[in-house]
Amino acid sequence: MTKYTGLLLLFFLFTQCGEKGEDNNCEFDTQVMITHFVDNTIIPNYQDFNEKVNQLNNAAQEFTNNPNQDNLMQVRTDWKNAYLAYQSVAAFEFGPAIDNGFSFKERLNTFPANAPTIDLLITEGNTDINAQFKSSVGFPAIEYLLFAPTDVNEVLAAFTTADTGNNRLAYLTALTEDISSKSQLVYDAWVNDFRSTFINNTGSTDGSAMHVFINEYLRDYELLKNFKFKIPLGIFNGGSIEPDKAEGLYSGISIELATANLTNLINLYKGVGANGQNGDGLYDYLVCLKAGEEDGELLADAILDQFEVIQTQLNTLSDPLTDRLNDQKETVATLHTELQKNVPLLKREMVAAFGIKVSYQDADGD
Amino acid sequence: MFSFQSYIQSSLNSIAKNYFSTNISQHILSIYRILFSGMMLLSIIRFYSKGWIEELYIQPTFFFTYDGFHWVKPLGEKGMYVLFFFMGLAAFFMMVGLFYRYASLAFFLSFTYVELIDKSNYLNHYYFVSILAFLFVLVPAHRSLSIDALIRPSLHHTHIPKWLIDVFKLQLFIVYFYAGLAKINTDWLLHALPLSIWLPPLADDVPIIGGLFRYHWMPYVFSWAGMLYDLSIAFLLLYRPMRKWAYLAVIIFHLLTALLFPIGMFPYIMIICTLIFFSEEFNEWINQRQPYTKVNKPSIAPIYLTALKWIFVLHFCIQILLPLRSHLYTGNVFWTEQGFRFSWRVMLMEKGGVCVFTVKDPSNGQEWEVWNRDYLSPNQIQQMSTQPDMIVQFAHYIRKVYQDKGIAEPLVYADCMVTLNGRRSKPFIKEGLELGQFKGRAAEIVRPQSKKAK
Repeated sequence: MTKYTGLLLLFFLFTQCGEKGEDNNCEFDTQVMITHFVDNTIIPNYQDFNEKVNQLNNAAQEFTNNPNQDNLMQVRTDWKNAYLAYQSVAAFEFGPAIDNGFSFKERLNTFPANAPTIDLLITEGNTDINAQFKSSVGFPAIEYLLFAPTDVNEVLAAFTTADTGNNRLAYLTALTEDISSKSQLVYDAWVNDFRSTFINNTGSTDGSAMHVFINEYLRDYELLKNFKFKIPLGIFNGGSIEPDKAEGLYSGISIELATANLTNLINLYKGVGANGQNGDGLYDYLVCLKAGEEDGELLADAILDQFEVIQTQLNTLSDPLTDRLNDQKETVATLHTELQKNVPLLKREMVAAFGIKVSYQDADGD
Repeated sequence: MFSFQSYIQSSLNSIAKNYFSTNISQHILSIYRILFSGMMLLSIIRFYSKGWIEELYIQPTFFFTYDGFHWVKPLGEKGMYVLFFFMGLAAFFMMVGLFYRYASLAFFLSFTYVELIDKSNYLNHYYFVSILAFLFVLVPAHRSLSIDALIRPSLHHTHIPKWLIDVFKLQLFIVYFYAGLAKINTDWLLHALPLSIWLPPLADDVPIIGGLFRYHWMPYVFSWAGMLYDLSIAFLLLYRPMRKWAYLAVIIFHLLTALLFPIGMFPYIMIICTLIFFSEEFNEWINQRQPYTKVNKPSIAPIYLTALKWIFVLHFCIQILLPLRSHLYTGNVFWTEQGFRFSWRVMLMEKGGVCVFTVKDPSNGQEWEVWNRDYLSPNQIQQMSTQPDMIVQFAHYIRKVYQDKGIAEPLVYADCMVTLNGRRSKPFIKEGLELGQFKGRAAEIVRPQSKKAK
């Protein structure tokens, strides 16, 4: 029985400690945070994206009816606005974004676009978008149609005077319609049932809203680092830059797109909503948990500081990235290094503190 | 003259003689066999149905083999399924007691073979299963309640030497006690780490007690209780008046761990395996129920018994010494992981790392970052990122891969950031150390655990 007396004593002892250090207990409701994300970021962002995609689709229709330079410029503007808005929903690759038989991310933003295949499809007059590979569809494919070649008159000519002009117009509208219908599907799902399904999926175990959200947050961060910077920098390529693998290659808006992407991730971290509403973010949860306190600095602040370093570094660059890779390679490389520095903090330390398993693989532990 | 010393010696001798000549119901060992192999069969089916054979042994292209066992290789898609089927069949034959000697050996060998394929799949509980399977190979667990004994009645025994049951108890004792000793460290006891990291996020996941995880003293209660449980449970199970209560503690403890952590079958295996401590009670019960008219003395050849004794002596010497080997090395075993495996260090740390490998071609200064996913599964990457021996193995492999790509002398470097028990990530590998041809002890590549990250 002595063992149990001992346990009781210990229990008592720690209860006492608990009363002294009341502020050490973390009372954080992750459901409140997730609800804030959904209502003030995810749904508004999808709504905004959906509106801009519809504008793009309308502009493309208008351009098909009247293929002139003004209408082309309008499609370009709307494409850019929609693409920028996409950067703020890219992190939400779960629920309706993957549950409808397609991956939103893959179908909308696989870059670089496969130009030869797209040309071939246009020659064939094939507009069956869903049957095509991910590298022939989505924003990068539209970009290819709208921005290559560089001379706007040549682009217009390709849509008008060229033999395949009508096919090209048809492919363009098929692309915008495809994005528009997918976007509508995802937005509707969120507004209808998925909002409550997601919010009520509490806890931190695999499949919970937190688990899914954090994993996709991290994946979006890694994609930002790897696909927008690491690969164009040539880090997998013996150090020889690969500008033709950049996002926003033909339009020259790579850095603007990356900035929008990063801003969304930082806002989620801070808990700032789409319209500036303040609420619980990942930062606040980390503060509550007092995670990784070292020499008076919390992990929460270390990540925030690093995000600021990254943002500052990104701000020193101006589009087009393809030029910067040539004339400011070191600056771009530094940006990549700074992005990399936040990986262990986010992907290992933060995730451990949240009790989330980063995994695309299921296994026992011990 | 009568000497005190010889008196002691002769008493000890007679105690030993008495001990080794005490018999106990064969049924105990037979039932234990049925329970163990039945659980193994279930585990194998579970493993198969989760698709892990494919994921862990067929899909990966590179495997982290063990020193001395580099010849252990996965057998390809068909081969692995056949091997697992064979293992399951062996477990089934063990359970029903058909061709028991061969079946138990087949199970032990096939299970251990699979475990030796890849370090990334190392789990203490797999190691535990291997050891138990090994013990089952040595003991005559098929002399009753088995098809073997049915077919050949001469095999049937009513009794076996008690010490053949006790080896299982000793094994369990070692597992628990070392698991408890490993918990006596400052992180576990004074900072309640890693439980302080693990418990709070589970507040919403665990029914009833979950709410308590928000209190910062709760992980301390769990840490201390866990340590005291591990250290004392084997003693309490051995002590008859406490046994029932101790077993209640076993059930509560393991069910709690099953509830809290993704540890698969392990809690249930332990709950079943500790039943062996009730051999005395069971023996009495069985004697009351069905008194033996004739005690069928075991006819195990004395030479075989002597050989067995020596095998067990050797086995337990290894079991006692192996977990202590980490004390021979300098540095924190949690950081360097030198002597970490096979030591019953269970659920002791929260460790995570991010490892970036770079290949340099000295002939032209070209540099490549290695995309780990091209060669490793997510699980392998995660395991490797914190374990120096695996980092070295992978670096050697990368060197070969780049040589095959046509680079004569590729240099391989690793930049790893590792976080241990919620502390901020620290650089893990010595800076600028070429790993592609590194030949020393793996722990030598590790930077001393500094307090502050640069």
